[in-house]
Amino acid sequence: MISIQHLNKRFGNVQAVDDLSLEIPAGELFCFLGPNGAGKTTTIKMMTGLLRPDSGTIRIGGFDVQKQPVEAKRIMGYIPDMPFLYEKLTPVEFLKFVAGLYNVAHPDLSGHIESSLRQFGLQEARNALIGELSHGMRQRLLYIATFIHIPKVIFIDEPLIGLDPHSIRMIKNLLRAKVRDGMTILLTTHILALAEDIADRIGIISGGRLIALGKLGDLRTQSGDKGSLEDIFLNLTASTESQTQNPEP
Amino acid sequence: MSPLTAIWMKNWNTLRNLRRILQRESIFKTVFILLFAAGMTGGFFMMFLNGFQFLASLGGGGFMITRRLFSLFFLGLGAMLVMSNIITSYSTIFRSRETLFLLTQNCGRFHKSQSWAVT
Repeated sequence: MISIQHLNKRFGNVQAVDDLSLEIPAGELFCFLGPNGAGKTTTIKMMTGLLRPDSGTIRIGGFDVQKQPVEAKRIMGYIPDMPFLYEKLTPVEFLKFVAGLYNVAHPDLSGHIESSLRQFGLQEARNALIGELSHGMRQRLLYIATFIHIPKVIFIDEPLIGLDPHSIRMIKNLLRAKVRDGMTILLTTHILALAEDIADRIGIISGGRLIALGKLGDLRTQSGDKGSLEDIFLNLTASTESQTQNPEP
Repeated sequence: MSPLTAIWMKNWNTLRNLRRILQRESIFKTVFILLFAAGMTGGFFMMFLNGFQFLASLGGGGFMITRRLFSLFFLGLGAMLVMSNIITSYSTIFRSRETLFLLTQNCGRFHKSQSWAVT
């Protein structure tokens, strides 16, 4: 469903993404882990068409993001870490707007929106302005908006920032349910417990390079560490960072 | 609903909600701002009317000054318009979070016209 081939992106002297290749099949929840500045967000931005790669190709559902952006974006959804919402609209108006952008042909769109708002605990705030909602409520609204056109692929950058434990549990269950329904999800996070909890496969990126890939068991084998994901992550990223800082002559 | 209609509806709803926000504000505040704006507009109108009437009363020299003043005024206005358009265009195309949001959505024509905004 997601196919990345030899992706490169450089900002000045910094190689943000370095020859990244990755295949993610349909119905998989893939988790991207990496320290700050590792290239996770840059990779997601290139996948969503917000950044142009220096070289390499990205295909989403068979569509080249560079050559067929409209077709690719029709089947994808993106939840950034700092989302944009129209503060002067109500949740219902915003959801109808997003549904309109995607030409959602739901026989009962209003009913669908109402049931989604109820499911996400936003029915009380349905007529409030988005600017007046709390961070958690806005985040939940963004999830409804992203799922409204039933995308095949979802990119989520730091999905749990600022959410309370109830919302976190709800989002985790929701993501697992969507994956069971066949959706492909790629998310980046710093919360290793989340990756350990819900990811089918994990990719660890450091210095723009994919340094480990696989299920938790595979990562244990690759790192030679039998501990938790935190131990594996620290072990792998520490060795990569020391290599970057002290390159061999 | 087409993406263009959706954007039009969004703008219409935003305007309608702005009126709602205004209605929630204190009546005194709204009336004070409106009266202040009307007073300033009226005051400037009277000041310039008297000024130009005085210049007109001077005869030929006054007409020449009036012409020069209007030329300077429209030159300044034109320059400001161009400058503000450059600043607004730059911030809308390259720095606006709304543009980034729309670029990740399904708005066909918008993508084609804005694709060069992608860095």
